[in-house]
Amino acid sequence: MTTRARRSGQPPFVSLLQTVAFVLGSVLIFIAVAMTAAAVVSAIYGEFETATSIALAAGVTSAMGYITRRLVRRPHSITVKQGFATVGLAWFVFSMFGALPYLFTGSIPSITDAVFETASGFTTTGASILPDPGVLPHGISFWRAMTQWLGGMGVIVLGVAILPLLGTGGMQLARAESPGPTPDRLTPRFQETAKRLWLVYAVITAIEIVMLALGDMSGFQAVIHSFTTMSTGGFSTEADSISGFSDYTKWVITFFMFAAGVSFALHFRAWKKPAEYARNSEFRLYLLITAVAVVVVAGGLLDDFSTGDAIRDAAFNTISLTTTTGFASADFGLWRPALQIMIVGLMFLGGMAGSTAGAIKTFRVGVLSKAAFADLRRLVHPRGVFITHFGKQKVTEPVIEAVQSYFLFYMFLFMTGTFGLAFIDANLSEGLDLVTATSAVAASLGNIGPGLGGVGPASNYANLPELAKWMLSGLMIVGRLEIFPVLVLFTKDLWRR
Amino acid sequence: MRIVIVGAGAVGSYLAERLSSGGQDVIVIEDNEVRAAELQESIDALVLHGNGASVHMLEEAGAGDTDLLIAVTSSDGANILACYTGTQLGAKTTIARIEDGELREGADRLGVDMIIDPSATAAEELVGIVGLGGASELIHFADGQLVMVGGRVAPNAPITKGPLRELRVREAEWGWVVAALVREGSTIVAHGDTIVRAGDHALVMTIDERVDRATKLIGVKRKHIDRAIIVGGTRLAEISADVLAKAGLSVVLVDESPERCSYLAGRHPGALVLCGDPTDPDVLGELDLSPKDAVMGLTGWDEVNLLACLVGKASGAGMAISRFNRIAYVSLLSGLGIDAAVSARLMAASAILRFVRQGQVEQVATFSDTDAEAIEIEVSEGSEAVDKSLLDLDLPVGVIIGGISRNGTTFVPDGSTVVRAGDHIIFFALPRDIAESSSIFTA
Repeated sequence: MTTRARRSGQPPFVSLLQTVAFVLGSVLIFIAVAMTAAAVVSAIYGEFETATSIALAAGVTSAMGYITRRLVRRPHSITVKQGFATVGLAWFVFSMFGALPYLFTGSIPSITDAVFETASGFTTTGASILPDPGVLPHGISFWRAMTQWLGGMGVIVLGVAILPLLGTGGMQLARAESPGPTPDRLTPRFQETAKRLWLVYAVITAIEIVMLALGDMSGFQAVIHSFTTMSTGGFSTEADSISGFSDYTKWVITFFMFAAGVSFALHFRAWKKPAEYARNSEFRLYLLITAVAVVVVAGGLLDDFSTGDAIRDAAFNTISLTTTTGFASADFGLWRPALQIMIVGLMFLGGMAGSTAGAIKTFRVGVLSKAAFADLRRLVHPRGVFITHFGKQKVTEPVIEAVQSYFLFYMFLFMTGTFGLAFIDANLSEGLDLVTATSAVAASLGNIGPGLGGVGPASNYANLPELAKWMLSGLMIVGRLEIFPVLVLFTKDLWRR
Repeated sequence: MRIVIVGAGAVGSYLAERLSSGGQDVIVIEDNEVRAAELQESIDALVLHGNGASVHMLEEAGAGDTDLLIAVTSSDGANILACYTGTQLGAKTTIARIEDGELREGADRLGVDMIIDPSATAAEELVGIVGLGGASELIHFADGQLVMVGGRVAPNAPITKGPLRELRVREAEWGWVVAALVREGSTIVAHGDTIVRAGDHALVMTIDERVDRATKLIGVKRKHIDRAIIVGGTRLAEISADVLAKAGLSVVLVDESPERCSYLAGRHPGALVLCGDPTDPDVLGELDLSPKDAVMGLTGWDEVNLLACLVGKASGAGMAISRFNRIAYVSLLSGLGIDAAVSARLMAASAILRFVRQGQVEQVATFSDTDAEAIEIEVSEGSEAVDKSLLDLDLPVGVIIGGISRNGTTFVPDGSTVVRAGDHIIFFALPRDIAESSSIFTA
């Protein structure tokens, strides 16, 4: 007879912590593998001291992961709420561990800065505290891009794709981590869907690497920039981002940024049937918004630049902002004030649901505007019955409400974040003007990266007060996980004993 | 295995949940948008919204390369059409829920491989429960040599006297093991420190010759039932009346509606038909209930069934069985004055589950009040388990090995028993652990 004890009737928060520990343990081991890859890259470039330090970080991370996993049993089942909370907590913790390579190699000596850089990496924000990333050893530069590439499609989604360990619960976790209101299923099993999404992601990244290497980028630069384009991250090896590269490189990156803002499930479907793109109403809206924004910005640039430059920089920077990538092909901080206001506006749009882009996202933008229009018509015809459609699909009331409340929370966080930054500034340092504060919060919450003013493309986040850096790191994670996974951590019944 | 389920009603959603958590690729087609969305939230399966009998929907669900198509909407016609279309598209096996006897005839020519009639399945189950006379399960494994005896633990039964570890020492001369306990609707996997309580539903595994010892252990006195009082004049009641009469019991049918009663009296001349409120103690009291009587609440209302059973039991009936529409009641309410609960939908779903598993294992048993299954499997040459002791196997927590059959001899193993290739192993596991456990015994 084999009998082993199974605890039942444990308080909800115990099973939550158990789930958190299990998931976190598994994910930390994953992250350690990625660090090892960075150590190998470092060794290839002959940076043996850096390689050893990164390997040490990998060792510590995997040991912690292993211990955490051994501490608890595999969770039986995960509820929606637990899934959200687990992902929320997990992201905060692995943003800490991801900072170890920076600290151990001494590339970023301050803990605050290292965590900021890591959170900015995993959340694919791309805000940096480094004045010149060019001086980083190759291994660290690779790790920096790696955090973005992993965070783009989601570390936990990758875990669900590769390890069968989470079973049905995996779906709840991945849902909390996938950007967009509803995950688009390609297969009956979520694990298979996750695998396919990662495959599409990896293949498109590989194509971009080849395309970039054919231009004026070195092989290493091509890899780094492809990792950070497809994840809509925006870390670069250069202090002036993409500004110094050729027109060919800029256009290639423009194209792939646009592609990264498209749902990866749609990419998968369109692989066999390219007509799927045209049939998708969210894609059509995304294309329309992008096109209009590019034309308007290009129009605004024509006075100061040549036609070629205006079109190139308008396309590059607009798409970079709407897809929340955050690369810059020019210092848009020097553009006319009207365009700068438009830039802050673009930061809220985001790409399609199911893409790697952050911010509000096309689907929500579409639903919000249509629901608002329906409300307007209701005022005119109080007896009229108005159904909101998105493309041919009817949008149900609960979906509309969820979208509206997301928007509300998003704007609320944007405003309180801006106030918070202003207060921190008032107490601790000088030099945070309104433009800097507003754009820094919008750029963090939307996972864009560079803002305007003091945090514009030509400068960085290094000069912000410590507390501001922690707050922005938190906002990045809140934005990346689409608010709710973090907010449920503050609900009372989650911690009920 | 790829399985398409048409219809996400009680049967369909229950099946989808069980099959997907058991590791199958499940695609559900449901035409109610809200229900489809709700189901998609809760299970790891693809839920499509649309008419599951349409060629277009079935094609979108990939019915062409599906191993099994299960049509369980509430409409017989839609189910048959879905199976017909599915077969045309290339589905390997189809199962349809068909209630109408006339439609059932010749359904195989329309591509239906297995017909499920929830009421007929439930009627069979009822007769089985009556035949057990107090035990709730008597399931044979390994060609009848190993038996799983289930029953509700009586107050002061020997099994309640101390933790299982001590009991096994005290009752060491015969091989037995508690496979599982269902207490207040949740399944408890028993271990050495577990103390069985009166009212628990205990599943005990033993060898065939020791069935009487096992029933005595859980305090179940086998009763002989010779009369069935069926409350309600539903289709299930009618089928049950026929099956019970065939099994040699005298049958009483009780219904409130005079028209229904005269119809029943005409259709079932061998049965006594009473017209009156079944929850009125006077009506059942008229029958002078004795321990040889079984009261069965088979109306369409769960509350009437439960109440009629309680009244019957209080008036002296030996056994009370209630039918519940709400599947959750089956495990939650059994034992609260009623001896057993059946659900036509659950029975139908269980029959389909057994059909699905049959191909992969030697035998499988499902239970009414727990999702766990008892599975008999042959240990294949070169599998992970061969030549390891049970304690060394990396089985999921909560999996219980209930018996081993080796070269014609059967025994209940302990932790030191070493597994050999060719052994037939009977194990008890929760759905999520079934696939993993099976893989340990098969190469």
